[in-house]
Amino acid sequence: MTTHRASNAANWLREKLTEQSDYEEITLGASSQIQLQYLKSVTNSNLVFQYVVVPSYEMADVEAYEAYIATFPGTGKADDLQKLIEGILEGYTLVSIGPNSYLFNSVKVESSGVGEAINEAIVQGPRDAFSENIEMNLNLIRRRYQTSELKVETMTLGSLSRTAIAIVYDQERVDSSVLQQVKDRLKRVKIDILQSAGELEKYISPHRFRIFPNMVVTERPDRVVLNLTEGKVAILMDTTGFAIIAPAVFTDFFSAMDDKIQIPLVSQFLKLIRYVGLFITLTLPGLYVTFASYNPEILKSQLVLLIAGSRAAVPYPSFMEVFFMLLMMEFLTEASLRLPKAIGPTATTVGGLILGQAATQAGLVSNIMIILVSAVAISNFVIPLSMMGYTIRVLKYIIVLTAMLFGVVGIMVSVVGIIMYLSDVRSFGKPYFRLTLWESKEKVGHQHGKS
Amino acid sequence: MRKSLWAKLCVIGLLMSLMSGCQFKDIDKRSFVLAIGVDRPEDPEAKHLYEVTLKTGLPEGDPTARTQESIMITQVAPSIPEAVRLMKSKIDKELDFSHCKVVVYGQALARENIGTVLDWTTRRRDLQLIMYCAVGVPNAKEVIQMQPKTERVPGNALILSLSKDGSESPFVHTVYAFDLARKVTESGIDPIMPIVHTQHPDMLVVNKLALFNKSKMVGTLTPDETRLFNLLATKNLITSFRIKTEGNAFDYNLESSKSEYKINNVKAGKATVSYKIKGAGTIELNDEGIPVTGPVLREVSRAANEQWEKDVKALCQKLQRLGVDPLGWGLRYFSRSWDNKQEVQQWRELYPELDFQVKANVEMKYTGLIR
Repeated sequence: MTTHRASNAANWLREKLTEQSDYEEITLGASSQIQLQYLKSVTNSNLVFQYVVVPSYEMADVEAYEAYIATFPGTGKADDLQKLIEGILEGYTLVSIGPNSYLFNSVKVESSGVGEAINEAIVQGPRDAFSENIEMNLNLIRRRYQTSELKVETMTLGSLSRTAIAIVYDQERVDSSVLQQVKDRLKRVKIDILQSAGELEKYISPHRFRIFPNMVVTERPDRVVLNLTEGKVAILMDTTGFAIIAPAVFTDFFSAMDDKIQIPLVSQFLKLIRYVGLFITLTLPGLYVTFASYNPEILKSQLVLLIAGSRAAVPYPSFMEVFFMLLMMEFLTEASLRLPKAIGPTATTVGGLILGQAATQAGLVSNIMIILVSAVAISNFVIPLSMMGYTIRVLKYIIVLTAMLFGVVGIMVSVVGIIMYLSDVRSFGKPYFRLTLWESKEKVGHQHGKS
Repeated sequence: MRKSLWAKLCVIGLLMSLMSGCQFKDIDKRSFVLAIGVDRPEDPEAKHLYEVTLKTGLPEGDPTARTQESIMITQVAPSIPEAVRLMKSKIDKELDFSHCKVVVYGQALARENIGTVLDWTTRRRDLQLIMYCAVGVPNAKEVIQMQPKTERVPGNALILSLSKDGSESPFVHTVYAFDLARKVTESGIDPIMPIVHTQHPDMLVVNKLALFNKSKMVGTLTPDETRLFNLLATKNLITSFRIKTEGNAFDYNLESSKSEYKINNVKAGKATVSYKIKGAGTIELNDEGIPVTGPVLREVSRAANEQWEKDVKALCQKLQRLGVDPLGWGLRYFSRSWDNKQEVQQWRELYPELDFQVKANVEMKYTGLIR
C-alpha cells in the first residue's frame, strides 16, 4: 500500500512530463526501490550523479540512504503536487525511495558570472555589476552589507516566467510605509512574462502620465548598498542584471558612485558640472531659437552679427534648423547605440563629422548650430543614469516648442512648468524633487535614536 | 477617454496647420544698428531739420574672414522717428536698435538743444538706456563714419573708447543715456558728455568734455581740465601728472586717489565748497636723473599738492563762471538742507558767490624701480 503511495507522486509526474524531450527517469538500486525523475535542461546532472546516484551504490542499506537524502541541505519532502511540479520545473530532482519521495535541490544555473559595470562606468572604485543570477546578486549585496538587519523577502512574479523577486531592505532604517507600498504594488502585478527590471519598474509605477523615472534602475551593487543605508528598498530580480531602488529622488539620478570616492570639493564640482550640463542640454536649443528669432539683444553684438552672418544662407526659419539638427543628432545617438561595436565608430565619424561639415557648407544649417547641437549632445551624456538622460532628451523638445512660440517667455514658462511638475511628483509617497544633502543624515540619526 | 483626447489633439493640430500666423523675423532678416548720430543739416535752409546717420553692421558668414564692413544710412527729416521710418525703405532688412550702444550728438545740435533727441532715445522701447552718449566734432556723421584700423566689429572702436572697456584713458568720462536723461531734468546737477573728434585719416580722439547747462552745450573742458574733473568725479583715477619743482621735472603715476567735498559756512548768502583730495603716487620719470631720496619725494609731494590745489580751484571757478554744475554741488546742498520750498532758490543765489577751498594731500610713496 505504501509503495502505491510513492508511485502515486512518481506516476503523476510521469504522466505530466512524459512528452517532454528533456524528461529523464532513472531507477537505482538492486530492488528498484529508488527512482529519480528530473528535467535534464534545468538540472545539474553532476550534482545528481555525485550526491544521489553514487551514494545509492555505496550504501547497502536503503534506510540509511533515505536518511542521507532527507538530511541533505536543500532537500524537502514532496507532499504537495503543485509544489512538486514547480520544483521539477525549477530544476529539482524527485527522489522516490519506497513510499517516500523527496525533492532534491539540483538546480542548474547558467549565468555569466560577475561582470563589470558597463552602463554606469566608474573611474575608481568597485567595478562589480549585478549578474543575471539573483543568488549571486544577493551575495554581492550581503558581502557589502554584513548585518542581521538586512532582510530579504522573496516572491515570484509572472504566471509563465515565474521570475524570482527579492525585496531587500535594512529592517532598522527602512521607511515602513514605503516598504508596505512596494510589497502591495508587487502583489498587484499580474503579468505572464517578466524579463527586465525596467519592465518591472513600469508595472509598479502609478499608472498615470509621467516623464521622470520614479525609481532608480541600477546595475551597481555598491549603489544599492548605499541606498539601503539611506533607508530605501531594493528590488532584485532573477534573469536580469539590474536592481530597482525605491523611492527615488531627483538628485539620485545625478549622483555617480565616483562622488563618494572623490575629494569633497572635487565631487561638489562634478555634481555642479552635471547640473550645468542638465541646464545646457535642456535650454540651449530653445535659447538658440529665442536668440535667432525673438530677442537678439540678449547677446553681445559681435555674436549677434556672427549668428546673423552664419544664418544668412539658411533658407528656413531658426526652429526648422534646430529641429533638423536635433533630429539628426537623435538618429546618430540611436544608430550608434544599436550598431554592432565594430561599425559604431564609422557611423559616428560619417554622421558627426561629414554630416555636420556638409550641412553648413550646403547652407542647410548655420555654423553656430553645429556647435550648439554637439554641446547639447555631449552635455546630455553627462547625466550618470541613462533613464534620466532619456527623459531630458525628450523634455528639450518641449522647451524648443515653447521658445518657438513665445521666445524667452516661453522658455521661462516651460522651465517653471517643469519645476512645478517635478515638485508635484511623489515617489512611493515621498517628495521627488528635494535636496537630500542633509535630510538623509538626519533620518539615519533619527532612526538610530528610536531603536 | 485616452483615445478621445488624442483624437481631439489631432484635430486641433490639423486645424492649426490651416491657420496663418505672423511671420517669424529671424536674426538674418534684421539689420542691427550699432550707432546713431544726429546732426543739424549743413544746408542753412534746412537748419530746423534733423540729419540722422545710422551705422549698421554687415553680418559676416565666415568668422575667419572677418572684415569691418558696415553700412551707413543718412536721412534728413523733421523728426528722428520720421527719419527712421524713411530709412526703413532704404534698407532691405528690418532695422533693429537693440544693439545700438552709442548715440552721438552733433556739435551744432548740442549747442542748440539735445532735449528732443534725448527724449526719443529714452522713450523708445528697443533702445537701451545703457547707450553711451557723446558729442561729435565736427559733426556726428563724420564721427559715425570714421572707421579706425583697430576696429574689428562695426562701431566697436567708438564703444570701446567711450566705455573704457578697452583703453582706460583718464581723459574719458563715460556717460550713459539714463544718466544724461536724469541730469537734464534733475535740478542741482548738470549733464556732461565726452567729445569725440575725428582726426584724419582714421582716428577718433576722446579727450575733452562738453559742459551742458541742462540741454544746451555751453562750454568745453580742455584735456587737462577733463583729467582733473575725472579726479574729482571718480575714485582711483588711473593717470599720471607732471610736476615741475626746483628746476627739475617729475612725472608721477597715481596709484590711488580719492576726493571728497563739503559745503561749509552757509550763512548770509555765502558758502564754501571745500575739497579734500587724497592720493598716492609713484615717480615714473625724473628729468634730470638725480637720485630720488626721501627729501626729494617729500618735495615732489609738496609741489604736487600745490599744483593740484591751484588747478582744481581754477577748474571749479571755470565751472562757476559758465554757470554749470556737473559735479552736483547743488544736489548735495539740497540733500543737506531742510528747507524744501526755498532751497532751489537759495542755491541759485548762493551759486555765483561760491568760494572754493582745495586741500590736496598726494604722497609720493615709491621711487620706482631702479635696475
